[in-house]
Amino acid sequence: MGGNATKCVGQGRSRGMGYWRFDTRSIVRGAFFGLVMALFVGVGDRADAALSGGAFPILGGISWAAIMGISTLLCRQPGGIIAGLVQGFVDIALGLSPLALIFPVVNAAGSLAYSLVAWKLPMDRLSHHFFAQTAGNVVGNGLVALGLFYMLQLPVEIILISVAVTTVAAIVGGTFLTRLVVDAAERSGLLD
Amino acid sequence: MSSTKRTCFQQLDPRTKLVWLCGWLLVCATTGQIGLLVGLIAAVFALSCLAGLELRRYLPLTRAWALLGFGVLLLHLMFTASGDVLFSIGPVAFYSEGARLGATVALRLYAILLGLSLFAMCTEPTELSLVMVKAGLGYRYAMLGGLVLVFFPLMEEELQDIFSAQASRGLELEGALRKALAFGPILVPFCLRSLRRSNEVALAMEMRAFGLSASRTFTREIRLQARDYGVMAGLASLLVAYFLVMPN
Repeated sequence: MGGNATKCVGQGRSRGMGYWRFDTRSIVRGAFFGLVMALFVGVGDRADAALSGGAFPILGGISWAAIMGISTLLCRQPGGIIAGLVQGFVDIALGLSPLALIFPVVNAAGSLAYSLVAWKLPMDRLSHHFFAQTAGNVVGNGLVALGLFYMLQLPVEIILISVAVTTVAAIVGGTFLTRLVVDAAERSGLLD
Repeated sequence: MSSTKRTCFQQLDPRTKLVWLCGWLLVCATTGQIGLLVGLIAAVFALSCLAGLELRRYLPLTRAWALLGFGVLLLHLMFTASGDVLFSIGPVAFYSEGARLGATVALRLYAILLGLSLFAMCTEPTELSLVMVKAGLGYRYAMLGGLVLVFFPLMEEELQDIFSAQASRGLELEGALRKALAFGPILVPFCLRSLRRSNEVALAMEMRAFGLSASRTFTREIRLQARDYGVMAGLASLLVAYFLVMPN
């Protein structure tokens, strides 16, 4: 325990991330960010339902991308995966989405892809966040597309249009929001 | 989420319920028969009554599904051009195969959602944590389910507080689009408060020597009993019968 407590101090920086972090703080942080993701994606999804009837989950996608990036940067792995799993299981338990069954896999894969890029980049420029978001969103939304195809059996053209629009919006929105929150978190001193 | 009453259904071992859920999802995912899907939905309602659950607890889920189910049905009606023409509006014709496929997918989603909800309502998070520990997952990870359940309503309240606080500062939050445009001013304080709360919880856990030893004991144990083996055998027979008898 003492080792864990010592380890987590001074490893809170989101820049130039290491890949793994197993201390209690990052695991608990991951669980909390899973709740943040579940609640905030819910806000986005409700806004999407009001704007487009849910056909283009743009705001939900942006919220997901932003919190997936934030949780991966602030919790590392497996904290990022834990955040994704928590969001998925909350959605399953509350029956919030018919695709909830695949969300744990989608979130975990998106977070892993994001952290693979973030691991290799110093993450101190907007372009770095953009590349990491691109990786996370392509993987995550690609899996959602598979879910839409197999679970809802929608025509491929519709899936491609919906997923492409969501992915582009989520990459752009997610990049700016992730940078905004991560910068604010570093300035706040809560990562020390 | 989980119901507090302990009827015979709730008293089953969580692993038995997990086997039921897996079988349920398998049947829902593989059947294309509307009659069977309707039967499965009725079975969930019957099981809920047996478990002493109020059916109105499914109302929010049913409302959410109705919107999406209608959308799915409409999309299949519009884009599946096979079978007989049911009706047409101007140049757009709607086919019987589209209606059948749309109804099947919509009902399948409803059956899956109901099954997941019933499982969540009849299984306590601590039971799931114990299952995960039995399956070999470290208790540091397995206990996260309970933690999430405790903090979910608090975090929900916190998000609402942030919305109210920002609205009182003059941020426009009426309507979906304005709410969406206010993502930044909402997300930053929400994430920072979550960070602070998680730091406090982690510190409190470490102060109590959480994670010190590789294994730990629990006040509650899960053990498969004769009725669990009986239910699992029954479920396995039903699954075998389904795959042997039912044409898909």
